[in-house]
Amino acid sequence: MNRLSEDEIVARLNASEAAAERMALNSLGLVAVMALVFAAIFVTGHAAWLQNQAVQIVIAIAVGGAFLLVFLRMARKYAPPVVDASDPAIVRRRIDAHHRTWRWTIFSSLFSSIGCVAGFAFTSSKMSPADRPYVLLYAGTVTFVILLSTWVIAVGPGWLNGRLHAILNDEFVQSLRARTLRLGYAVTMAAGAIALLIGVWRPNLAIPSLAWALYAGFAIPALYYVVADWRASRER
Amino acid sequence: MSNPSDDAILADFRERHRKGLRRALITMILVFFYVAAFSFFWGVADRYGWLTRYGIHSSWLFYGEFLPILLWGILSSRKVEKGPRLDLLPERILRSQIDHYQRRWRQVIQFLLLLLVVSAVAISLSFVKASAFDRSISTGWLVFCAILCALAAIRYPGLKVFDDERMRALRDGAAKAGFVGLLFALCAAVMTVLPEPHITAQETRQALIWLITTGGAIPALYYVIADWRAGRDG
Repeated sequence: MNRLSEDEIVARLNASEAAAERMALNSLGLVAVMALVFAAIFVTGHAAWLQNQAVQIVIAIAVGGAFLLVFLRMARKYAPPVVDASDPAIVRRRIDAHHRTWRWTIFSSLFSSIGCVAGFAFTSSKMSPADRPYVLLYAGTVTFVILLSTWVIAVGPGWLNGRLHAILNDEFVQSLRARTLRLGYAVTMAAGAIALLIGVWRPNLAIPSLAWALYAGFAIPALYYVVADWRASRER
Repeated sequence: MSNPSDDAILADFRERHRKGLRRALITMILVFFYVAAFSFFWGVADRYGWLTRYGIHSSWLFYGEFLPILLWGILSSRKVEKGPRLDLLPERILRSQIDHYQRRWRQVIQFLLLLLVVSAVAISLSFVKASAFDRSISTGWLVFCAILCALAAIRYPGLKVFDDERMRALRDGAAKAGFVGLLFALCAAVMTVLPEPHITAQETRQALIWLITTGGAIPALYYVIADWRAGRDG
């Protein structure tokens, strides 16, 4: 394989970071637009066809599928170049670029999953047997996104590539992940306990509280990891 | 006062350990049979009506009788923990005493784990028949057991022998296993509950009961097995 020149590496690092930022901003924008559209529809009472459960689920699947496609395309096309033993001055930049890309990826999954979880929570009481395949696919997409981000926090960035994983996970990152996992466990237990207590108090809220417990258990530690890693990177 | 020999100190530790083990076993057997007898009969067979009147949901009597057993367990463990100061011990005995404390902590976690699982089975079986007030009380009890179990596995218990690198790594590993396991369980619950339109709030609450139990049990099991395996390696 041809070795990349320094200029090419820097160009690819910049492209990779810009792509991850675009993905996060697109997710945020998508959630904001969906929230605005649905809020407007429900508040004004117009566009009755959009209040159809099946239509909502199809839209959600289309949005989730589009997110996954974009994610997979960007992961392939804009992956930062693998860190190897080249100029020490540029190795640090490459490692930082990898961490930034992972941060943006986790950050965008926060936005992409909140729309789905809110959809679950608000529509769970209106489900009909005909919706089952849609919801199964929908729930599968959300849990896939959430588990993927959780796996990054639990195992560390670059987990698909052993050599890259070893370089990216230095002592500092391992310690940060250990703290995040401790917090994550406490938050998830608390969220599960609160969901159970809410379910006992108000049985009709049991299913929505389950969905929000999943989101809280994933989002709070993910946000903690992203913020702490970002703050640490500013000091490096 | 003459100083006891190393062998005498070691023999004293071993005797303490045997006594403590006996007390812990008695506590566990008492708890198991007490909770199991009342709640399994309550859950599975109406013909034991005379027993089910005092089931886990039916009366404060359950908790009233439960407290002396817990008290017995706590006092037993306190009595055993009163050993000589670690920094006064010769090197040869120090390792043995550290192992002794770590074994004792594993037994505490095993006890809490057993308590959590038996309570979850009992509460899960009898949830439908319970009144709203008793449901709240028993749910609080389950959450309390799960949190105790989790804290015992992932928090530093305050004794210096649990503050070395290996124990810290073990607690981090337990928290990691708990977090990943709990999120997987939550995803499985969401995948099971949401796409099923006929699922009732009752069934969702059953799922949540077992979710909390899983969340408390995974790090405890991880800790017990990993610590036991590390103990075997010396």
